[in-house]
Amino acid sequence: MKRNYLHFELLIGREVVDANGEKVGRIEEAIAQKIDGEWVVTEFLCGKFGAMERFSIHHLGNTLMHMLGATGTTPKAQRIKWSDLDLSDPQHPRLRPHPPRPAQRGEGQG
Amino acid sequence: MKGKELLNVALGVITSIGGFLEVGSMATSAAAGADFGFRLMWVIVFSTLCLIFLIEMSGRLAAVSKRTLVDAVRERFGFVFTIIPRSLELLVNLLVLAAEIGGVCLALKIVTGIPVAAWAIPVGLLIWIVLWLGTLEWLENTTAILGLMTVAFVVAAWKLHPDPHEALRGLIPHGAPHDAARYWFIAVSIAGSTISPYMFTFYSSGAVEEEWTEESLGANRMTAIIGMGFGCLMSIGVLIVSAMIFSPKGIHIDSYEQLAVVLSPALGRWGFPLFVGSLGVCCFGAAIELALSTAYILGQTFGWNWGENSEPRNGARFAATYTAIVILGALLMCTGIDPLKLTMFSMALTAVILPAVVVPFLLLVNDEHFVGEHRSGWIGNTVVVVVVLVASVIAIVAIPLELAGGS
Amino acid sequence: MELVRDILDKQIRGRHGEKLGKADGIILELREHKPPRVAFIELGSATFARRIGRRFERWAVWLNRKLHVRRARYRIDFGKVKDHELDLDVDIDPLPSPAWAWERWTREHIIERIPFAK
Repeated sequence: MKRNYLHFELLIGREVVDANGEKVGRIEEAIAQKIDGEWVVTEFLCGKFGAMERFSIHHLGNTLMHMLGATGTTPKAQRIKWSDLDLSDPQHPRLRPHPPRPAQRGEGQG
Repeated sequence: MKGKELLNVALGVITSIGGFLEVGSMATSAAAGADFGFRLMWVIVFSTLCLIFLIEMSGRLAAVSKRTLVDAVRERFGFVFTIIPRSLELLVNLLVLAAEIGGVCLALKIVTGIPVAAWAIPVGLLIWIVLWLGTLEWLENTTAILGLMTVAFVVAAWKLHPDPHEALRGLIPHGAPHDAARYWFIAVSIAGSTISPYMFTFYSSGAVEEEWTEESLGANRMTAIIGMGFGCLMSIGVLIVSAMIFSPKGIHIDSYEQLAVVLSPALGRWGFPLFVGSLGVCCFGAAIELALSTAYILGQTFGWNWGENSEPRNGARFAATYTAIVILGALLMCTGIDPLKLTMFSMALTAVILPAVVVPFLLLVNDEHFVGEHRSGWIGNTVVVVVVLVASVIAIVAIPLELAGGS
Repeated sequence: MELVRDILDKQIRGRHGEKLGKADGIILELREHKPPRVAFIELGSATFARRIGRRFERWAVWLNRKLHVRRARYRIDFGKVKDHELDLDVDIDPLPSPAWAWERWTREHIIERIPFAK
């Protein structure tokens, strides 16, 4: 059976777009958990800076603020569930469109 | 502090003092004294202050995170980013290593009359043999203890009775009294020779090899402050001696041979052998540190087995790297390049690359993930950022001006 | 576990603490209707060269082939990773491992030909 492999390190910094082609952010990180004896990716983190996050642009800001005595956090990256991210084309990751909600009884009736 | 810890601190301090002065700090301090009297002393002090913070941070990072500086930069910022500072460091290391080999060759030339280029290969071979057979502790302690003869510069400076008011005025920052391009070029060369990236790479690697822990932090701080502080006194000693001997006569230093007699007026017949011995030993020790630092950079970037304490066959690529860099450095000196010009230029270039090397370092020692509660204070952060950025900007402007001026 | 923070670019150590290299890459297995599995850590000159660009990857592959060093990249099954606290401790003996191909080549062709290598 042919397996489908992907180089995660080449995914970092790739821009994620939604179903409408709007930019969501850049892949910064992947969260993995051990489930049934194997490590699986449960979430991806998408932020403004993507690969630059490793260069700590916001961390630099954190550092400067710490130097000046401030505390607090910076905006967190957006968490994307693994099932919501389409990686069939790793160069162009995109959010999967959410299926339309089935109409409830009584909706749309005059 | 217990007896054993005190001994370790003392050894660390001696290592720092003995290893501080090398061809770069000698050449730049001597040039500063000859051309501008005491007026560039403040650069030595500010640069040393910055170095003290950086050395302390480097030891702290290693002791707390159990990672060397190079390891931590790659882990935190990724491979693609790490190529930038490491490539720059490798280039500068090669040039400075060649200059240090040149310094040893010059010491031998002054004694024997045999040209520098002829000594390059034998000196390179001797450096390599010491690296191949020695351990880190033996290397550090031997060259550092021998390097204590550089105290002769401090003694000579004191014996020449410099005007204390003039000397103290040199500690206050001010602009160029004349020849601004030359003044600032020497200033950034002093900064580059003092705040040398290879020193923090070497220091953090040694700390990891010697398995420092959080309990070593006190000793680390003392070593940084006392060791670098005393080392600073040596550089100031060179500057004062040069200012007292050369400046009144308007002598401009354009070769190391001119420096051979610099200690003689104060120290009599001991002056010449002490100068030659200081130059030879200090440059030899610095060359060893540079060769190891280069091997540490590549070994730690690519995750090889590394360590001066292990046999060469157990760290084959590590040993091959220091072998290759010593060969390249020696070959560069065989070309007949002027050691003094190479020294001044490579020191100024060091100042240019400092931000690329120091900024990621600074981010690491403020990162809780690496140093936990032992993050840097705002004073150290500010001193380092200001000195490094200012030195770099000045170097970018001063180097072309100096080259255009024909020095 | 965060893959960038805890795995990528970390030091890999073998069974007895030897340094094998760095985690130059992480391979995920994409599966239908299942979360991606962290399948392998990858190391090697071609892997880190690819992170710079395709041309560098081609040079790395060419160099390995030229010097007969076997593989320009090597994968370690992620199941062999025993710990990732400080370094990545993997249950591998480095001596016969392709991960140490360059180390062995350097030792055999350069270092052991020089006296007092031991």
